[in-house]
Amino acid sequence: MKNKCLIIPKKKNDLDEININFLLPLKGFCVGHKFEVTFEEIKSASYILINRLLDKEGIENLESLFFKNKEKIKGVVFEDLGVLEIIKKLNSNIETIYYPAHTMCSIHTVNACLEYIDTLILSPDITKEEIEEILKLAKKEICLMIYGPLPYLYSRRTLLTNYQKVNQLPNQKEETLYEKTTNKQFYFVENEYGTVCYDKKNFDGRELLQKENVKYYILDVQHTEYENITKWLNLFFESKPLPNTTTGFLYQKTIYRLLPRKE
Amino acid sequence: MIELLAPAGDLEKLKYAFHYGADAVYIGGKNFSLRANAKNFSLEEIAFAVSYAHERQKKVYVTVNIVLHNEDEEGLEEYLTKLSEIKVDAVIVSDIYIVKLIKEKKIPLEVHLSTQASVLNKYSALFYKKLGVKRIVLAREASKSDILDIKEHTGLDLECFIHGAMCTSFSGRCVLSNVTTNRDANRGGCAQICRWTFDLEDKKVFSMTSKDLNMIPYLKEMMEVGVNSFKVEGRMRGIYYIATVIQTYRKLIDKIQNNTLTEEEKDYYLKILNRCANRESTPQFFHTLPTEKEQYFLGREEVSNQDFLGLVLDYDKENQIVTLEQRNYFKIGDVVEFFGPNLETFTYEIHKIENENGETIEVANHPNMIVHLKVEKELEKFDMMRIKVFDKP
Repeated sequence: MKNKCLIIPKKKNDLDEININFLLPLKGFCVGHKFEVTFEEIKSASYILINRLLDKEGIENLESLFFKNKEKIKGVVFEDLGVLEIIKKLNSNIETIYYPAHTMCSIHTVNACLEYIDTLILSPDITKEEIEEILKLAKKEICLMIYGPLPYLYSRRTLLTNYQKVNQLPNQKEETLYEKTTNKQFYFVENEYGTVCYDKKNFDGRELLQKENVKYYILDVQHTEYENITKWLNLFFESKPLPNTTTGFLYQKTIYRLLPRKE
Repeated sequence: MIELLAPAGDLEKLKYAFHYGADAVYIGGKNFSLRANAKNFSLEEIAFAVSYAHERQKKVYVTVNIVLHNEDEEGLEEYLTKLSEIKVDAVIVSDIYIVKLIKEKKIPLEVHLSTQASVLNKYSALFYKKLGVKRIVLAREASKSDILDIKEHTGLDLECFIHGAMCTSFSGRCVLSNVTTNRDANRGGCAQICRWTFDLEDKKVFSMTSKDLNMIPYLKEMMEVGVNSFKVEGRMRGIYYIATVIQTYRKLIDKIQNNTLTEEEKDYYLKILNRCANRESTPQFFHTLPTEKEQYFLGREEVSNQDFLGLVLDYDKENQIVTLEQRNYFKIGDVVEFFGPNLETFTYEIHKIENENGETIEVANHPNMIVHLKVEKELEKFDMMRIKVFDKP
């Protein structure tokens, strides 16, 4: 099971654990991650995370970096379809893993996209029932997010800095925000490329383990407290209870059309 | 030829959009579109809209930009086929499945890629071009250099927003509505949570609301870098907003193309737009990244207004009498102005008001009441009367 996991690490020491497949946020091409790595820090072929939407400068810089470092790339998880075109130009066996955070929500969309990529990560905004149906009918093995903070908003704006400037507050790149009417807590994190809002709780999707037709399980431990990543993973796979978690949308089906008011 | 593309939430708004100078409108059907809670168009209404538009050499684009869930696919192919039979000018799509379905089933529909796809670079644009997309509605975050680069490398038609409300996030990259209200933002149920306030841990109040977009200062540059269509946001907006915004941009575009636009006029039109929307608007991503100045924090300075006073129903040339449908309170002595697509906006002081029965009244204070005013300048049906606030340069 563990070798089917791609794990977004929290800190540099994690990378010393050699039996783990890490998914490494690439510095300058990610949002929402405090721990990022450069190609200089990557020692062997690895899975790379590019979760920014890339503008002209971003896509050109990435193309140049990928050409120089293609031997260090085993696979790429990406949000921007422009990345796929760069990988094609590299003419190598880099695995393409598409992750548009909120749009892989139907079997129709999944199968349409799988014609162009090796695999994709399902949107974590859908129910367990929807996930199971998609897994059953997907043309290729696909990936599931099974642990970590669910992303709810990605803005190009520096929302924390802007707020702090107006209110003459010291610059903080991360904040916890509380919404009173719904009693929800959110975690905002910002870098120069924008701001991401996550659920303050970690999504625990371990009930999705052992499903068929899964290529990789994705774990993001950036907001998890642990000393040693391997020990924490052992607890995770032993199904030990974890603090401060949510089942996200697994049992929360969203609606989009309001019912007419009763007279 | 730059296209001015207006939103139309229903048939009435569509007619006003065309009347006030739009070259094309985008509308949503009852299904498969965002803005699920707008009135939207039935297939019969879409057919009427297309015929109405084509008679006037205008275009109708239909949004089919839902992010599909498994159960949403039912009826989609039939719907797209119907749209093609109706001869809509294009569909606006974001889900790759729908783009491919149109191509594979050889449904004769032009496909425009929705801004929900967040295209910002040439490679992403090329990917969609290969899928058969003819036009891309770029992400609102696209800068001048992004637009120029995409145009140069793809030759695709490019559509950019020039006016209206902004998402705080990249469009489509937000499910705050889903998690807080259970309403699915990417299927048209967005509850605009980015306009709510949040508490920080020290109880200070945080907000992240974006001001609206307006691109008045950069319209000319946008034309020069190859934007083909200027899009106005606002399918939920009323006829006064549609008329004011579309007429303003029509005039701006025409004046830019004739090289007659002055700085004073730019300032004047900006004031008109901001007042009409009752929100401040600024350019946002075109030249530099937005800062705190492009957001609202606690307290907006604008106050709600009732500027839209009346709608012209008829004009009696012989007696110089206009018949108006009242939309907001006005009275004798008020200084107002009339505007319309074939009319140079002019100031008018109300000296006398007659009601439907020809009786003189002091105030027009009943919603939708019919009144008569003596106005010497000729007016047309669908012209509008508003409070005069700004002097025209």
